[in-house]
Amino acid sequence: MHKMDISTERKVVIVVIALFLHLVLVSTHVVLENKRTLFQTAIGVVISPFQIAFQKTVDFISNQFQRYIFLHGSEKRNQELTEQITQLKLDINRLKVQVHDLEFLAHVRKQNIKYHNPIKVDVISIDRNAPLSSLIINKGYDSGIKKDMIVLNGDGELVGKIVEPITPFTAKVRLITSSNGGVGAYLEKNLLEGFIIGSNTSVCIFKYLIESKFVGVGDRVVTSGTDQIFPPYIPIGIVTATEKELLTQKVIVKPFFIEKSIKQLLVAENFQEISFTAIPERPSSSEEHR
Amino acid sequence: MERKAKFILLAIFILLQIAVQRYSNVFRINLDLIYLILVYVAIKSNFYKTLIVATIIGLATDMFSMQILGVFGFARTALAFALNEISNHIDFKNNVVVFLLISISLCLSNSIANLFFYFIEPGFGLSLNMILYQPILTGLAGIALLGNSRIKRILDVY
Repeated sequence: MHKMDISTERKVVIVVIALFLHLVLVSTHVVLENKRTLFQTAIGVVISPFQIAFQKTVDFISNQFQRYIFLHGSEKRNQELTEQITQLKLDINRLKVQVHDLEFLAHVRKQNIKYHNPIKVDVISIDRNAPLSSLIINKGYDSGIKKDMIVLNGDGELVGKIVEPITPFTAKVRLITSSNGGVGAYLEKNLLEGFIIGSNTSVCIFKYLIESKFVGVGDRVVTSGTDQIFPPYIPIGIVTATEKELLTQKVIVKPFFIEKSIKQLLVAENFQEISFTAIPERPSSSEEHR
Repeated sequence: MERKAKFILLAIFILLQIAVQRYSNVFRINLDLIYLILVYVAIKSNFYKTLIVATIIGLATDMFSMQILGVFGFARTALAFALNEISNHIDFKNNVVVFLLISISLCLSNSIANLFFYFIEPGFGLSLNMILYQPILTGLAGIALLGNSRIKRILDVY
């Protein structure tokens, strides 16, 4: 047998390849801690960068297609989403109004005064020429509003009464500070009776009080019920100043509602239908369950 | 005639190796007579034939030893290549040289395999049987079986 004439470099290369193949064979039997063979791990290490690069390239191209080519439905979709957003904003506003209404009604309930079918209303307009004369509310005779119904604030204090005009969806409220009309009233501490007249300012005048009777600053004034419009014992205001006149005295009264919000009001039936009996204590939760 | 004699020797070596493998536990002899065939092929054949035979013998050794496939293949291939390269510079008439050649090359080959097992197989340490006893015994067997000048003439190793 004679030996072939092969260059040393070529022999070395072939031997190295042969040995490498043996190493590959060995690596298929070596199990690493990750339960994979060395061969699988090596292949994974070698292949994974290409795999990741390929995946990212495909993702990138897909995204570009999605962004720039498949946009024909985006305008319609945008319009739908805009409509949804608008509807949601309206819903949020409606819910906010409902929350405010509920808060107001809860506050009213705390005042311990019971009305027959009170109607909660919102003020939508105030007379710009005489802001303390009258205002417009957002409910009319469609909601059961009638002339001469009494108007109270959230604390159950007198604000005014319903007057004409009354439309299906709005009604006018004449405030007790208006120079038109008046309210029969007396001092709460001694039942000294008189008549409250407004002056289109933030105070009212308590007229027809006998000069000899003492009236102190800070005395509370409530309705007397003698005018047959307002039921008795509704808080009106507080005495802020007195002035002696011939036979009578002039008393300045500041209504309670002046310093409080009149954004939300209560409209209740007038004298005949209203009662001021205290609301009985609510039964405890355990009693309710029973 | 020489070709026929070579086949007979090959058959004898294979049968002896099977017998040794079978009764190795009884006689506590660990020989690798197949390696003698590989040495003969490496010193007498061309590069490609050496490489192919070394690979086959190495993988066969792996299968018979029930160890990791490829370890002895690697070791035998590397040593067969080395033997093939240095065979032109060795005097095969001298049996001591032949003994040293067989023993040292097998020692190196088994050392490589031992190194693989040490790193791959948990708990596999240094094996004197592989590195020392088997090469010496195989070298002695090689001298005993092939040292005769007549057999050398048949095998054309002069």
